[in-house]
Amino acid sequence: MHFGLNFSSLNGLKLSLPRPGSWTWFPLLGLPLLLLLTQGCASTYTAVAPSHTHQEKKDTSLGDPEDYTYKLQEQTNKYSYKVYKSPLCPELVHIQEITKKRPRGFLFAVAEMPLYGLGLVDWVLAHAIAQESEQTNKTWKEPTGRVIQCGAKQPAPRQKILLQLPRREEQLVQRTDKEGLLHLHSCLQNYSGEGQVNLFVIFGEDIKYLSTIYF
Amino acid sequence: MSNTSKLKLIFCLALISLCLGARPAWAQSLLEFSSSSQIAEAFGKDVIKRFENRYDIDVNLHVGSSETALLRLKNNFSDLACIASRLPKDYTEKGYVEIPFAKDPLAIITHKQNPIESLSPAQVRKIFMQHTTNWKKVSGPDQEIVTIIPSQDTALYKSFERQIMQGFNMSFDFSSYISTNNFIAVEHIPGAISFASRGAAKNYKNIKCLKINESKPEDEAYPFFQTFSFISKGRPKENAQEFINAALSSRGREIIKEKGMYPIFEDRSTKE
Repeated sequence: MHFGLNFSSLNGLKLSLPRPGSWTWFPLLGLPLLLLLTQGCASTYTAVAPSHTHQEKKDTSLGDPEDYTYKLQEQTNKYSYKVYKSPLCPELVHIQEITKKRPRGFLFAVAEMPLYGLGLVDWVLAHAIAQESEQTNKTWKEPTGRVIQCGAKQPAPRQKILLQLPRREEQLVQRTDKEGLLHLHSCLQNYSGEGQVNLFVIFGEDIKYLSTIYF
Repeated sequence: MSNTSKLKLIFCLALISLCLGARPAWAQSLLEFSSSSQIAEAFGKDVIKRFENRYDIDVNLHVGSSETALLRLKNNFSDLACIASRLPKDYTEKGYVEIPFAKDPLAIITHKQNPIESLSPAQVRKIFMQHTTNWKKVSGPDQEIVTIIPSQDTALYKSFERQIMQGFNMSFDFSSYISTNNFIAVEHIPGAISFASRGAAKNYKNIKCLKINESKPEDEAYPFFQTFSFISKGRPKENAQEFINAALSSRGREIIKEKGMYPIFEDRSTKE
């Protein structure tokens, strides 16, 4: 059995080539040729593959204030209180619809590696092609459902405050003045002995607990 | 002391400091909530689901009687309690905060197949005194009446005793530990009668609520109600406030109405 060239007859410049049709051609010329032909398969396969569309969540930001938290601060005058509000903003997540090719032909690239070491280049190239094909179709923002404080507290002028007298099961509505002050003296003197008054802020259709006053 | 012993000592000290140290950060976003079983059944679970979806706060719900809910709050096992009775006055004086938020009709319930539709308060009283023991006596079928009541510690029992029994002694065949177990009993015992929160009753298909003096529980003229209140020890803390706000929000009040109850704050007949 012999492979390829017969060096014993080199003096006479005679080459003893394998017979046509013999499998001994394959390791000598066929395998390198095949490996050479498969060079760049992964990158070519990636380049011709169809693109895929998916959504990606990017960073978050805050929207416009849509709600407030309220605080009550007692003043030096008895039954006078100052109402403060702090804005709350919805947290928004930025979403992108991306069309991109996926790197393909990993097995080709692996097969190329042992002989030429170029499989790695092919695979990197496939990744680069996939990356290059990336297209952002559209971007939009969606609320995450969380609300976050997004500003300094400020007085709440002309704010509707609901007073609940739990024992009597009565409710009263008062308003803060233009400086956010709530004067309850004249209102509460009719309810001495009640003990407790719950204060709520009326904000649109919602009612928010503010504080409880004991007297 | 050898190096190994020193290492062991350091490890033990680190372990002890971990056990005794400050509460972990995640524990701050937990609301310990104790509720009367009626309220949890009628309203609480829906609001909790909505609340947990919106805020980063987990709710650890404990369901029991109103008295148990109040005791858990008193002993610092809860941040917020929800009870179906009015807060005793001495609690208010000690700085507990009571926030009534809904009224719920106190419904008289029977099995769906019971042909009786309406009773008078006097008839109900006689049934629960066991002076009337057969449905025949109230124009019903010839069938024995089985009276089922919730535990005497529950706010439901106390409301019924105060509003309907009016000082007469109650007599009964069975008593359940948790007030909502009445529904299961009435669903399975023919001829049974009991009383329950109208809001919670809506969750059971095989029971019906009787009219009282021809008034349905959803009618304004219906005479028997319970008041549901949030209770906190001192002013409610941040998480508890958020939960109260979720219950008082327009969606929270919608849930109350969907369950056949009346949100207290819906009545804006308030003086300005």
